[in-house]
Amino acid sequence: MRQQLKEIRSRALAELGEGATEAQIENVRVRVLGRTGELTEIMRRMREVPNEERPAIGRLINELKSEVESRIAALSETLKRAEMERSLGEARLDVTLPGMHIPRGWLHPVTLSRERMLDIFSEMGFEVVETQDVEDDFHNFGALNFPADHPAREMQDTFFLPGGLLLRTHTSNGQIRVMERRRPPLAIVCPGNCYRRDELSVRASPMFSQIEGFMVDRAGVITMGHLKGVLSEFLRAFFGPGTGVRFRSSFFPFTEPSAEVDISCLLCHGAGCRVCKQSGWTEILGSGMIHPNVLRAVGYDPAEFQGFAFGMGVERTSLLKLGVDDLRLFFENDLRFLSQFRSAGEAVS
Amino acid sequence: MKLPLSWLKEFVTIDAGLDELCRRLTMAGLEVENVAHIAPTFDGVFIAKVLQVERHPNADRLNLCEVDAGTAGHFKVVCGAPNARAGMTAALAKVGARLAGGAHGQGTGKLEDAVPLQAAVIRGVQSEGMLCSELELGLSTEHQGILELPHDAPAGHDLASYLQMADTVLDIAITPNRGDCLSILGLAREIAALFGARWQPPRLRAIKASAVATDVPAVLIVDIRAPELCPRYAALPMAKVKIGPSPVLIRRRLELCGMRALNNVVDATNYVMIELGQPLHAFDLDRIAGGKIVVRRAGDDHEFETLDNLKRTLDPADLMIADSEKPLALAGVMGGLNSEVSDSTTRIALESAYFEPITIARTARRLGLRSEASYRFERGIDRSGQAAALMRAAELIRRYAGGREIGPIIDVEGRPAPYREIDLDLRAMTSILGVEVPAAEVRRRLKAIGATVTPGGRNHFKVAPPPFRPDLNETADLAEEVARLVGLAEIPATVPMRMAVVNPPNPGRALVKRTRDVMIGCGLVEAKTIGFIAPGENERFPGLGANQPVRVTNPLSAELSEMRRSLLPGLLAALRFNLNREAIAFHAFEIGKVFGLRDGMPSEAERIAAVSYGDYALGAVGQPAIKAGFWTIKGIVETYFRAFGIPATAEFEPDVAAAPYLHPGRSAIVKLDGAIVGVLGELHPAEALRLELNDPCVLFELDSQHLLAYGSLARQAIIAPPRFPAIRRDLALVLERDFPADRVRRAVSEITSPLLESVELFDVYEGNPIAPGKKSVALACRYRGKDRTLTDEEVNRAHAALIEQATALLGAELRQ
Repeated sequence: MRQQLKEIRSRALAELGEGATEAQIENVRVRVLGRTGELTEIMRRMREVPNEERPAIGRLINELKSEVESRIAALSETLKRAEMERSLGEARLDVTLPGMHIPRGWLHPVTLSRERMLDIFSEMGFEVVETQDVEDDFHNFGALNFPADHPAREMQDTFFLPGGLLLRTHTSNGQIRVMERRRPPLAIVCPGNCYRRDELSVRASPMFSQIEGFMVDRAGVITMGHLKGVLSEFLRAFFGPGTGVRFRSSFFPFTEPSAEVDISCLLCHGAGCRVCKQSGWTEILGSGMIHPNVLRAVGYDPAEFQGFAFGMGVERTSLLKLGVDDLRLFFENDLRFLSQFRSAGEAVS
Repeated sequence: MKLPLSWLKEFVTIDAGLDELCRRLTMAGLEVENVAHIAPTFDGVFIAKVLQVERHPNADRLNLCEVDAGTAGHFKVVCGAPNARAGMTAALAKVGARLAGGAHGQGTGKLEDAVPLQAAVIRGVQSEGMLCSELELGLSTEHQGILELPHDAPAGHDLASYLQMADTVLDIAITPNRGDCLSILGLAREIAALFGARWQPPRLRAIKASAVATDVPAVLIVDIRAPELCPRYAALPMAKVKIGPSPVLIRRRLELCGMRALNNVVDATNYVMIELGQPLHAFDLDRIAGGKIVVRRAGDDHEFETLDNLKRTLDPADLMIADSEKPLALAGVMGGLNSEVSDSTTRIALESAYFEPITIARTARRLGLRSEASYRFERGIDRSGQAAALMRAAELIRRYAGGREIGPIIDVEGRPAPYREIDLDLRAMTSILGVEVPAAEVRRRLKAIGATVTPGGRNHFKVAPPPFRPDLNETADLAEEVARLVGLAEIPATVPMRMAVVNPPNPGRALVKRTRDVMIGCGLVEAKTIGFIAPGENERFPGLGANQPVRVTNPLSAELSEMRRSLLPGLLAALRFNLNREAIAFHAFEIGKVFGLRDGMPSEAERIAAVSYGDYALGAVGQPAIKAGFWTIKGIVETYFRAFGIPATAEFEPDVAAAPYLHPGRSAIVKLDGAIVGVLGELHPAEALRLELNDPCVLFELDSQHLLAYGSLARQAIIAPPRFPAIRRDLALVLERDFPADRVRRAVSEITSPLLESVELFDVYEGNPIAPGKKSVALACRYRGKDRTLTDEEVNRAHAALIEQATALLGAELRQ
């Protein structure tokens, strides 16, 4: 029996030499280790072995079994590795081809600008409140110190709706809507759409958006100096720290004193160019101390409360920031324009 | 407002240069929008007296004129003009002169193109120059004769400088509150105040004034019957007027200011209006019936023909200037044809009145009739400037039209101007401006704009604003004046000290932001479209809720005459726009407002909508792309719902009627708790055909306000992952083909089965061996125990019970 085991071993190991194929290996495994294989046959004949020899024979059988098994495992491993090596050389990808496109959209440039503006104001402590587009005469004009038939109304050509209503011509209605139901201190910004009777053109659109802002507190707490401070901070945050800011007297029915705010021309940095009509400055927003008549209209006593207000066009401001000169681009939704904002973040917003 | 600096100089002189003038005006609220440098249209032309006119020896139609050009000497020139006569003052172009109009009127109008005039021998006689017509000088198209200058024009002077041909004209934007700056004098006053200079009003020869209308020998009577609309009316009758053209200087100034010259009388009234800001009107006195001017409302007069030959419909409240029989003028807006000054007019009545701004604004606006006069009246003119303007106009008419006053100025003030005085609180001014301006400086600045300032107690002044500043009424107005004159740059910029208050959260804004994030994550580009739309578009796309459309009362055009009910037409137009410009796919969304009538009143609501067309997800090379279709758009809606925590309760139902613009078999309405919150699906092939689309276009529109209300619900409790495994058993039910699969899933998941955790749909199958008209719906049911790993046996028992209930409930067969 020992002899038999020796023969099984030498034959198996001979067949499991280097270069054995997968089929040969499987052949050996079945013949030696299989259910009806040689080792099973020997096990079955253990009864014939004298008792005192049985442990030694058993050990020999086990040794042989594990030797063959590990030999098979080693050979299989080698074969697999060889197969892997071979396959790595095949079916190589052309890595220059484009990948699969998982869809991903992006935001409109006006949204990017508006959100950036609102974020800055939020960081400065302003609260964002949205109000309605469909307005009545009182909230859009009367309360804002535009008397009926006053020429100041001609500054804003209005769309009228049935029922004596209109489409707001500015977001200044937000001042009235908020102050009517709240008391100072207030620091509010109101973004929203506005409408004026202008044909869509390079410079104008019948629908556009504005951000109105206002800050009201007890008389003497919020001054024209604060108006200058807050707006200068905002403009430098939005357009960059080197931006020049100047305040110029002007007229709005709902502010007194009123000021237009200019920034140094973003193109020529104040040297004078075609865009700024050689002045070096670009008009960016309107502002002023809230007119006493506006405070009266919402039931505030102008001797008790005062504050400032400002308003700016979001599209216009975006145009300046982007260095684009045609307002229509914002409403055409031409992908060749919009796609340039695909990766836009802080840089252009 | 156009401001020729030559005219300004008559009233004020300042040291500053042009740039500084423009800068100061702009910073003070009088924005200089343009600066035009006007060059002379000729040079080398001198003022000359014609001494003698003789017939040209060799030509019947030509004369030989001897002229005296003062220090420049005497000249002999050949001239063919019929009006050349001895004693006249004319324009002599010497040899070398350049004429923009050309020597024979063939010039280009530009001086640099003109050829210098050469000495010429005309029919054997040497001509040492040329007497010029207005056409040749480039002043007008007049070429019937040579230009005749006033007799006092100094011979030998350079004509271009005499006529102030070289000029600079500022174009200044005047805000509606500054009617007082709509005149040369007003701007001179303002500039004087800004630069601390003195200004000089025109010196006038006083004309006797009478406040009593009947004091005159019945030439003209003024009767104000509407003193609430016309508190003051002054008039001056003049005779011996000879209508003709105005002198060049007058005409040129009017033209520089954007007005057309007509004749010496009308030009004089316009000249005074621009100079002093007081609109004037000249009537033909002989056409005023009864010599009586009545200031009254239109009342029973219904129609009136204005100077521009248009018949105007009157409102009974319109203020009219009438005589004893008929209306003569729309007060403050425009005169009438029936009393117009004509070439044959010899007697005139000049009107100089103060009309209440509101009445003029109302009439002018209603008639859409804007004149230089109404523009000024609307903004409020000098309440006290009426008589002075009449004197100034009379002077011009005397000089240039030969007129003589007949009688005094009739000056009727039916309602005296109220005395205005502002109690200026200096501390309040400081609190507005944020900087203290010394009292002495406040007083100086306010006096500079014409206010009377007197002490009013500690920290107070009594300030009487000048009669030409109706905009000054309270401390804030005076604070603005002081800030304006001192310069806003003098106010230090400071940042308000606020307590570190955390503003209340704005859930709406946060949710809109998150919505945008989800949409761009799903591959949609944000679009912005305009809210105005054609009625036909509203008809095709009635929007959610299908409210009646809101019509704009005064639309820009028929195509933009309604407010959109839906965002979809705008997005579809954007799709078509892009397909016309090389795009092959378009996936966009918009968050915006839609409008509709609710209870008859216009109202607004917010929507989120999207259109998706063409390849949606692109495969790698050689692999197919996923095209936009029902499943991609529904997937986007579901992703959005999942992001807002609302998938379980949302239902998608086919509804052919809800959205006629959608494909009836590939569309759904979206319901949440029974309310319709949106639609989605494929665009109806008829619409696709209309838009010339080759591929399916899918879209959705959702009521974002409604959905966002869900998105703002409190977060659900967070639970730890289960510790015991789930066991899955599948279930396939055979039902009618049209039975909605999700309803099967929903029904099964609602069956009471204590161990059942979830039911998900994983397959729908039609075809062999399923009977025709039927389908198989395969569900994966998961069972799980809270406290133990379930045994196969108990799961099998629970599943068998589930199958039994499900088949009974749905009338379905179990697929074997």
